[in-house]
Amino acid sequence: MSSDLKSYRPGTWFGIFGEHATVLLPPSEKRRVAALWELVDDGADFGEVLDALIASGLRDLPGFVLVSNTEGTTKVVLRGPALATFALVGGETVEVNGAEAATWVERSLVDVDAMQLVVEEPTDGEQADLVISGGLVRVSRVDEPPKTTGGARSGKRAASTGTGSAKAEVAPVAVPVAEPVAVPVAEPVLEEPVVEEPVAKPVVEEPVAEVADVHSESVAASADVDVPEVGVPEVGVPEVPIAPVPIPVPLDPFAKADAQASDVPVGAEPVAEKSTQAGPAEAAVEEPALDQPTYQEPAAEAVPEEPVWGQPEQPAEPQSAPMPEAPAWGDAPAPEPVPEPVWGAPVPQQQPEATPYVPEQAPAPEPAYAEPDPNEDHDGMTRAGAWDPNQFARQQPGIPGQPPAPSVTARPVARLTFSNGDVIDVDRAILVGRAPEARRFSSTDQPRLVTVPSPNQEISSTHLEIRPGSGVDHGTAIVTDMGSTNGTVLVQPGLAPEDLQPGIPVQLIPGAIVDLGDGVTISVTNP
Amino acid sequence: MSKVELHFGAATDIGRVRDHNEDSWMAEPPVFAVADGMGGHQGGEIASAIVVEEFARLADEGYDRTRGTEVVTETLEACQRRIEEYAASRRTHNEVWYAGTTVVAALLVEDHEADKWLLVNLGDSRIYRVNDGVLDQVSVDHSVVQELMEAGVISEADVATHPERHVITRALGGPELPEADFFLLPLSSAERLVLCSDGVSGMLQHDEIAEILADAYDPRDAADRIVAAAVAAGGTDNATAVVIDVVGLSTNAESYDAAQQRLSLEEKLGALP
Repeated sequence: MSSDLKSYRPGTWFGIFGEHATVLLPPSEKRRVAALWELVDDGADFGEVLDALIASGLRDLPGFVLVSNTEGTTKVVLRGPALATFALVGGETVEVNGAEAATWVERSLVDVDAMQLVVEEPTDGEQADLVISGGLVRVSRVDEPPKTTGGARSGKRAASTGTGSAKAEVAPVAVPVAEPVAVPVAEPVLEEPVVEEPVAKPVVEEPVAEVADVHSESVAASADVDVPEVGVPEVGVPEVPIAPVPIPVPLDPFAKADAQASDVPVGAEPVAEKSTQAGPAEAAVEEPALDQPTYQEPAAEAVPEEPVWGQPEQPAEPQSAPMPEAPAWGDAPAPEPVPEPVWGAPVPQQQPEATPYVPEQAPAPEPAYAEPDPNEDHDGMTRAGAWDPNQFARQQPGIPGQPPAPSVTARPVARLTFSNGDVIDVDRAILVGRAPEARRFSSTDQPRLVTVPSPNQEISSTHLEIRPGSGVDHGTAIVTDMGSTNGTVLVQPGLAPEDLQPGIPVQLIPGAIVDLGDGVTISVTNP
Repeated sequence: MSKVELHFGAATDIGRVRDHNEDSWMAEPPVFAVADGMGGHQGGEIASAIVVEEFARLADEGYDRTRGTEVVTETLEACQRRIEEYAASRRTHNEVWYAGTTVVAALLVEDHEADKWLLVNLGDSRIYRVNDGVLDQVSVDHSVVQELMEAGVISEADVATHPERHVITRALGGPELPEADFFLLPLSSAERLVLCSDGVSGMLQHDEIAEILADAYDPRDAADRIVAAAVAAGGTDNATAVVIDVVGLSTNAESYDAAQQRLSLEEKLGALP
């Protein structure tokens, strides 16, 4: 049996397929998936993956499946509600059930002919089996060798008997099934048969998109390596996020835990803020175009250079529309009539092209102020305006198309251990520096200031920020260098050290080390 | 109690154009505030006086220093309520009456680590700080011009002449209490704080204020001279300034030590051997 090709049925579990190992994780373990995908895709073997899985203890890992095949020996570890069935070459069938054990079940089998992993009941009746070689998908069941809809089982059995070659397995699969796998055996084996739909589909499934945002580079890179092998055109990868956007919300296991995340329709808010600046006239015109462009958001998201955090202070909505109509409080006869052009002029703004989502806040709320007599001798100078407070709402730092980060989370998303021994949980923004300052926060989102010693002044006064992430970073902590003088080095497990770009947030994986200089480091663990 | 030693000075002037002063200020360590009222029939004076009263109450009655933001929010709510009540009582006399006020305040609070400055702003009064001799505007005006400038619609140079330059976007006394901006600074990064109304910041350039502050060692002189300069520069609005110096941080051995200073002075005077 080879570890090259498998088939799966869509579900809610995460399926991580790599060269040497296959890992299935329950939907609740989304935060682990990114890190594991890195590991598995880099060719980690059974031992390495198992270490990573149980690094933070077994107790908070309700279930998993790890399968690895090396030199004819198949090793499997199951925990929780998962069932693995192995057909041996001799015709014998072995069942391994994770639900039966308090900790986990481990089996080592020789000469496995076929394998089936079932982690949940398939949802919508009969579903198609999709072929996969490497990647990250949502699954309910996995078969190896690949199973195709309708009667593939026997074909598979027959074909794979006695050989361990992927080629031998793949080819027969294509034969009996008339429609899904279009190209028959005659073609060069690995290139064509799969290309029709099975492989393309899995990549498009949404989990990839989630990871892609975080580690776009690594995914892209690995996609280049894996995908061509199966015949998917490379172009497919960058485009991946396009389709999936609407999916993450319903599937996101965290959505229920966080009202903010689930209530806000994807793409509604932050996108709206940006596009408002186009001015009223254009806004109206663009309205009809509202539907599909929203979905292109993720494409932009995947680009790490996107300076999303670049101008957090920038007011998102100068809102030209309502101002002229809204009488200023005090309605003072303006010395000069307000020059129309000022308001009408569209704000020049470097917008991501694909965000013509228009919010429905065009009409200004009626000012509830009492009509003051314009002839009153009030201060004469300072006047309050009847502005909609939201009109000038500051742009939330975050990712367009994603709900804004909750400023304070109910439960910490990470634990920071400082090199001086301090331990601080991340349940709000944390500002770290030699003499950190918090600027312009509201009464409900006060950040925590953490002062670290810097005898050599290598650390800036407000050096970096660590806060709970939103959107794809939901449930994790993100770190942002606040434009420090000497920079910040981040070492994530399994990755080369990277210099943080000022203002660009990076997701922190448990095990990450943040180095501020002057011997001050912060290590990140699960809370 | 805090071991922080604060010196302060304050000054206000009606200016050359107004016929009454609608600015109010209070300074009762560790609470300081400036409010710039607006509204006819003394509305502005009353509104700003209410703010000052409420913050003075905080200083008199004491407050939980570990709950700084909540304490200030409650105080702002109390101000808002009183201004609304007063406005309602006046309106029953068939008068068209309204009042509003800006507020900037600074008070000492404690977070997980140490004493800090908690600063709050609503409107276009300002908070500056001097750090290592450099003047820095901390608060961000809640004004139309500020918002337009941040949006890139107008440049900083346009601010002084913009027709809407006196229109503010948030204030106390409106239909609802807007969200205030808070700032939290370590004491060590603000050796001097300045709270002032727009009668000061609108009359004096940033550099002029910096120069006066650098020259005036005593905070009382600094406040007087800033207000005098604002009046001299035109005085088209009421001008008020409160200047606060942190002169001693006896908990922190590495910083400027007031106790040490006094000791050496006594030595010089021969009071000690």
